[in-house]
Amino acid sequence: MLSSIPKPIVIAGLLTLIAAGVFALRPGGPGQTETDAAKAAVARRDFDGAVATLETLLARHDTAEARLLAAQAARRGGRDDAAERHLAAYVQLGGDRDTAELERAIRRSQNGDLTGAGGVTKFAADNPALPHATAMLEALARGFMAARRPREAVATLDALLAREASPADRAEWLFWRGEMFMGMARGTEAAADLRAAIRLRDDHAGARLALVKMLSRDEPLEALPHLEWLDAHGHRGPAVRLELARCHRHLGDTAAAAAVIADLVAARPADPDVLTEAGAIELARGRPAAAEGHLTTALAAAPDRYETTALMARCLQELGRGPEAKQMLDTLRKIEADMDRKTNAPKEKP
Amino acid sequence: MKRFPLAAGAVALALAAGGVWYATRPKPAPVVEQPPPAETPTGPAVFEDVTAGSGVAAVYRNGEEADRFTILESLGGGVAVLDYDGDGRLDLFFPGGGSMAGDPPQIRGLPGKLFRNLGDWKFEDVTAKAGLGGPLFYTHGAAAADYDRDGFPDLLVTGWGRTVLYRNVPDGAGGRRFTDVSAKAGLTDARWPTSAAWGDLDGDGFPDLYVCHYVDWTFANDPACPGAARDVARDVCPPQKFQPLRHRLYRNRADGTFEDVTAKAPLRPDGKGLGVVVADLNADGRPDIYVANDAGENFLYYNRGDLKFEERGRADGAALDDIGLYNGSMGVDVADFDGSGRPAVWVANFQGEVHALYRNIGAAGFRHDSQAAGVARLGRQFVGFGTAFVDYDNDGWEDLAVTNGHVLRFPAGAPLKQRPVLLRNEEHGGRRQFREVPGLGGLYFRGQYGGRGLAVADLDDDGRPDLVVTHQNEPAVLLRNVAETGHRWLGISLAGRDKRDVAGATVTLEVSGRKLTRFARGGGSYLSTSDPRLRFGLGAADKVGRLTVRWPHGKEEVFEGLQPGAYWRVGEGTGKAE
Repeated sequence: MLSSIPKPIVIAGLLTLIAAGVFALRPGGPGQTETDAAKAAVARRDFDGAVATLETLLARHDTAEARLLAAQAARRGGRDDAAERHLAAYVQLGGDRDTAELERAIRRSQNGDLTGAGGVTKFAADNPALPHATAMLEALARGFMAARRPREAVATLDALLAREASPADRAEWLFWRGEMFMGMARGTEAAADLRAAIRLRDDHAGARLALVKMLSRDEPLEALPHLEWLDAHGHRGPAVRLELARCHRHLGDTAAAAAVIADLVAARPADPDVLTEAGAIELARGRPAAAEGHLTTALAAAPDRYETTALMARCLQELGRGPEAKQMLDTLRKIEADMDRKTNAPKEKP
Repeated sequence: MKRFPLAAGAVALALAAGGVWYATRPKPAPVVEQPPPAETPTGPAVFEDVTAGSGVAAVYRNGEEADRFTILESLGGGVAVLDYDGDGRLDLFFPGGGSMAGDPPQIRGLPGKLFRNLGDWKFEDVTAKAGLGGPLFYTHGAAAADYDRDGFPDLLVTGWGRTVLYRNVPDGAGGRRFTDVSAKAGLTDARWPTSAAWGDLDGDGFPDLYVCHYVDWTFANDPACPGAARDVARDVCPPQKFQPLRHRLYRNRADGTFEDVTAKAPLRPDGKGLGVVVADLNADGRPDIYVANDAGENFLYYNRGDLKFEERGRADGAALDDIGLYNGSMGVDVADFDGSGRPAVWVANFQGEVHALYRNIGAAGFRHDSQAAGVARLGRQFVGFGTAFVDYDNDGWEDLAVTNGHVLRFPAGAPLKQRPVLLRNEEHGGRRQFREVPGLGGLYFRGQYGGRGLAVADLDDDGRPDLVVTHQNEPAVLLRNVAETGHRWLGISLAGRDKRDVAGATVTLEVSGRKLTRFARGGGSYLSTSDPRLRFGLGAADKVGRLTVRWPHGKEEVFEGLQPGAYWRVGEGTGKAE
């Protein structure tokens, strides 16, 4: 029978069998490919991909180790239900109960339950080599961010960034710290972190968008390539378009700015951010009458906005309507005084 | 032989399996280095550093070596350009700064230096001979003007705790020297004056005096401030830590003395003043005053006559930035950059802010126009100080020069030493815009410095404006304009009737269908005084039309028959240009 099969086909079949044997007998066994792929996905912070890969493996070969990995990946990806499901299965398969409880504590911390924050920080500092410590610190940082406690978030991210980590993790932590700095009005440090995040992960759209929100006004020449990258990669939402219009205005290209903002105004005719920028662009084009319409609508939607009020004062001044401009300047002073009062008010303890 | 294909195939497939394994291993994300954005360098160099061999050796010392981190050391010093000996060549005076030593600390002054221009880019140190060896105090600024109308420029030197007025007098040997007349003149202010501007504000022909004051810092009011970066324990305090000192306005009584008219004017009580310029900003014939304040809104004082002023900075759109915030402002200048015939105001600002170009839109005041004019392309890393409009290529459009350098010892997000900036006035999209042309300025503009003072002066009278720049603790530089544009030029030296002060004059030259407008100014830039002559770049035009001068507090006068390629002395009431 074998002799009736042409020799080349027999040889090919044998070779295939040998190859399959080599592949199956490599260290780690048949499940190792998925596990490694999942770990690689985690290193890339592709948590959904990691969970999917592990679930493929679990359907064929359910192990406690894979369940724990899946629980951790699901938790880091923000899928708490899946995380708990995998963790419960992990325990059923004989997984260590303390490890499961630790993972649950990390999840609570990630979701803003910061009761054990001090202990976590100390544990991480005392055990710099433990991988768990990194997971705990990352969850704690996210917890502080969720709880709007930027100072503690920055301190935790400082500790995280001092540890060994994948480039993707480092990029993400830099992005988070950059966002925290932005919220703390520490723009220089924010920009430095966001730039560093993009250097580590060129495709980090979130970092690019956060950066252009700062740079389209401050460093428009630097902002423009980021905006072009976002556009080329399909990020064409209103936030990106608004920054693009602002960037063009700050580059002195008011015609391009006007073209971008016209579409945005048509799409979002009551958005005070869009209307304020539209007013600023018309003022830059020397068209205060056109600016007034946009600014009036913006102020109707958001009456106490400093920038819009300031632009309206300029607009009225340029239109030669001095008394109205003065009135608007008086409003601006009131807003300033209010901001000063809030800034200088005694702070309550968090 | 038949075994060979089998073995080879097995090896090949093993390699392929290894390849699968290799391809699925965890991989680090690629690190992508992005070069900083920059505009394309083009064109030959315009300025050549000719300091070496010129005989000019002036280093402003700020005393930072004492490590006291005082705000005093952040200001630096300027330069004054003046023809002190009346030989027709522009000389240079540099304040020397000072030091801090001892416990309790003492502020000590260092002598300034006066360099006489010998021609051909050679200068002679005549400080002692000219009587400028003292008094010693910690100096900043130098403002030159002929306050006594004797035809020779006098010199006001400002610094911490003192203002000194040096009168230019004959030295008894056919030359000139300076003598300290501060006490006699009544200029005995012992606070912290910075930039000053001269100008005949009341129309009597004698230049009056506006003196900016900074803040109430003393060693008794010297808080310790943390640095801008998280890991810097101490740095120079920001001006917000101190109270402003009221600026001063002095009326020149025409008898060698001055009357403090600050309250009568009235000047505002606030403002941490660092820059001031006097020019006719609203075309009413009277010189007005614009003041650049640090950490506060800028002042626009319209001259209402009889030494009364109305401050309308906010109301007329010249006090704040594009979104209504005040800036940290230092240097200032005015010019018609857009061919409107009206003076725009230009202000050099702090890091995190854009330098402000307030376009003059006539009766409605000013428009913050930095974005539309392309200035915002520069970004916000600069801390700008000395600055001036300068048509360096004589194309008839006013360009800009700015010297930069940080005030902090350990700044965050911007370097301590910064490159100076040369901005070319170009047409883009039907409007005038300023564009940096890296490399164009020459080697000096590629370096980084603690830049402070800047003066524009045609030191070799070739019609191409040169620059003099001072730095913190580094030698001042002379930048010779070597631009080979082939463009023609025409220079004007305004001579008021009976040596009246001319700051506030507006001069318009008709050239090839265009009207070029220049403004005679008092003060300007930062702690500095520039060449008082006005220059018109003519581009390719080889002849000019009539020149119209609107004298301060006076009439319009037309002059004809001027030829390019020379400086012309234009005398008020003579109708003649010589």
